[in-house]
Amino acid sequence: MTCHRRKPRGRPPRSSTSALAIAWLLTLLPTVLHAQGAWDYDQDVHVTYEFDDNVDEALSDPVRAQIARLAYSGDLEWGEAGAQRLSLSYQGGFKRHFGLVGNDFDLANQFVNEGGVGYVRRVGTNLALGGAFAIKNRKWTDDFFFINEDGFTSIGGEASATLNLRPLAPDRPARLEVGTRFARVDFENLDQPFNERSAGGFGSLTKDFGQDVSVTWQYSVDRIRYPGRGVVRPDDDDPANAFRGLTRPRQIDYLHELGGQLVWLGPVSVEAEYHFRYNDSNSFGLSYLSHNIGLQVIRRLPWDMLAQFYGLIELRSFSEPAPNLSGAGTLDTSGASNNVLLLRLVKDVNAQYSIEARYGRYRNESITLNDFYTKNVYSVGMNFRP
Amino acid sequence: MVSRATTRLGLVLLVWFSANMLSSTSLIAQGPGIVELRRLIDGRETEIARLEVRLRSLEQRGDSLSAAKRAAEPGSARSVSISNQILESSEQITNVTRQLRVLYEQVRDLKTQLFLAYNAQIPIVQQEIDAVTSRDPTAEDDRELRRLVALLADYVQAREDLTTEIEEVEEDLFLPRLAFDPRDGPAQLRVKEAIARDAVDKIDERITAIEDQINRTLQKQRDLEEFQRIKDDIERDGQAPLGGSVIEAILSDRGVGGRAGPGDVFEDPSARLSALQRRRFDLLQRREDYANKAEQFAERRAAFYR
Repeated sequence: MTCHRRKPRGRPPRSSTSALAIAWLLTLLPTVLHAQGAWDYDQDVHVTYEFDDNVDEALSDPVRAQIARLAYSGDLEWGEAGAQRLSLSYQGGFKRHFGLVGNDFDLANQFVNEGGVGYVRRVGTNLALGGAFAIKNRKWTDDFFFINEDGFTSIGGEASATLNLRPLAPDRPARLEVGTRFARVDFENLDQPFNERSAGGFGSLTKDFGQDVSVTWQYSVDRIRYPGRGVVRPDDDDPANAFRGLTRPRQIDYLHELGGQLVWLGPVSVEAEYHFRYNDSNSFGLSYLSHNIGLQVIRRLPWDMLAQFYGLIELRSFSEPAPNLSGAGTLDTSGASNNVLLLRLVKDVNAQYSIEARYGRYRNESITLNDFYTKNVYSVGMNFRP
Repeated sequence: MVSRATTRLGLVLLVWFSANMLSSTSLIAQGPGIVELRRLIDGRETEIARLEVRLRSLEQRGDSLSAAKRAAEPGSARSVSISNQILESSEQITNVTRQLRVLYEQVRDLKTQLFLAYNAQIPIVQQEIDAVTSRDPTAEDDRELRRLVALLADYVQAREDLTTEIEEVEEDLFLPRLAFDPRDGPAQLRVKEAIARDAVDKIDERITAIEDQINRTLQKQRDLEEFQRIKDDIERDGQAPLGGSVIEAILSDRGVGGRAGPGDVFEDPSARLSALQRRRFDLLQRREDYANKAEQFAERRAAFYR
């Protein structure tokens, strides 16, 4: 059982980056308030109820969960042909856990809230500048928590420039985007070694081939630093001590990602992508290579219905023997949704409302690296696009 | 789809052939320049607008005269006077209709010439840019380079705009101009009514095709939204065990607000849809005009037998 009781801790320090981000948002307000000319606001509300048959990663005595979720996104555009755009998004959810030891054990529940704001402005006909800021918080209702779902607060932001590479041939526009980004994560209960700071840059080149086909090439590199975590050495017999070693160099990873994406829109729409990741870590046993393959297919059905398939596979291999981290907590530095198979059926009730049913099967890597657990998620939902 | 592709291919071949012919005979150098062509087009479009108003006014006058003639006693001095006015009005309508037809043809030709002129100028400006960039840069060269690059962008954009207009003209329906002529008898009115009803049928077909295009465009936008929705849900669903995935979840949403990507910053996502809806609206209005005219021709024809 990988659940824990909270350790007493002080109030987390306020981040100077949050203050900077808030200041940046405030600078946007005058521009928005003085928006001139035609404007357009699109919004989307999504409500779902989900059933998750294995929240915790223990397979022998699975914990189940019911999740109610509300998501909202809005896009405000103004200026000539949408020259400026302000996007807002919020998602909130409540997760009720049950099922542990034949329902005899009361489990705590979770609140998850996250929000983001993004702004893009065209500067001339061929250049656009933008930025985004997001914050997310997961909170347990009491001092109980699963180690793979600890409460946390994370913030992140980015700034980017997009250049329109309009060629002389019509119907073949291309765009180059470069940007920089940062993020930080502070966990509520786990020790400081698990908090992390990252900063990096990214670039992408997108080219359209007519109105139906689009290809994107991407590259990004992020430097991820764990301020409370020392490096693991090949001769360490107890990695847990190494993490807490104050005199050791801090663990720093460089995560490189190179990938491509193809979108084809037609009677059957397809989105296929491949990403190669290389995590170069100065901590022994934590460098890895991974191949990530994703595929989405949408097919229109009679009676205003559509069927959607989503598949994601991650093939990861560590370049050194992965350390035995039992009892040391997690070192998983990659995404939780490693392997996903998802089927979705949407029925449009009218132009504004749609309802959906979804089944997802996840095979995710557990906190002990190279060990996987499986879960099934069933959900029904409603979407409203006023 | 096939006809559109064929039209495009035909247009490209026509332009290529014409450009080769024109360059070999140096017609572009001798013919009017871009500025002059633009001036000629503007002048003709103003004249078209003026004549359209005049035609509507003449049709209304012809209507009133026909009604007055029906009310007047046959063979009376008043009836003869009205007949003369009807004749005069009818000649004016014929004259204005002819002028409009000529002007429409001229504008279409001028726009094709303008397209070819841009086509010829773009490589010339590109060569000038290459020449400036190949020598050691001076401050004057920098200014000249900026001017040439802006000029090139202007030409490319103008040519693209014209391509759309020419394509629309190529695809446009041939709809006869059916003016009310006070001299029309039952036979002419029957023919005009039949032509008007044919026009309504043709417009209906075109409206259906445009509605299909609108639906396809909406469907593509929706597919992109659904692709993004699944990704967002998976990235944000709170199953992330720890840090790395949370960072990715926050930062992966580069296309803000669930947009398909950053690229459409430069394209108004609704522009194509608006253009199609505008054309549909325009056709609906023309359909109504032709349907009304068919009804009016039928009524006038019936009036002969009352």
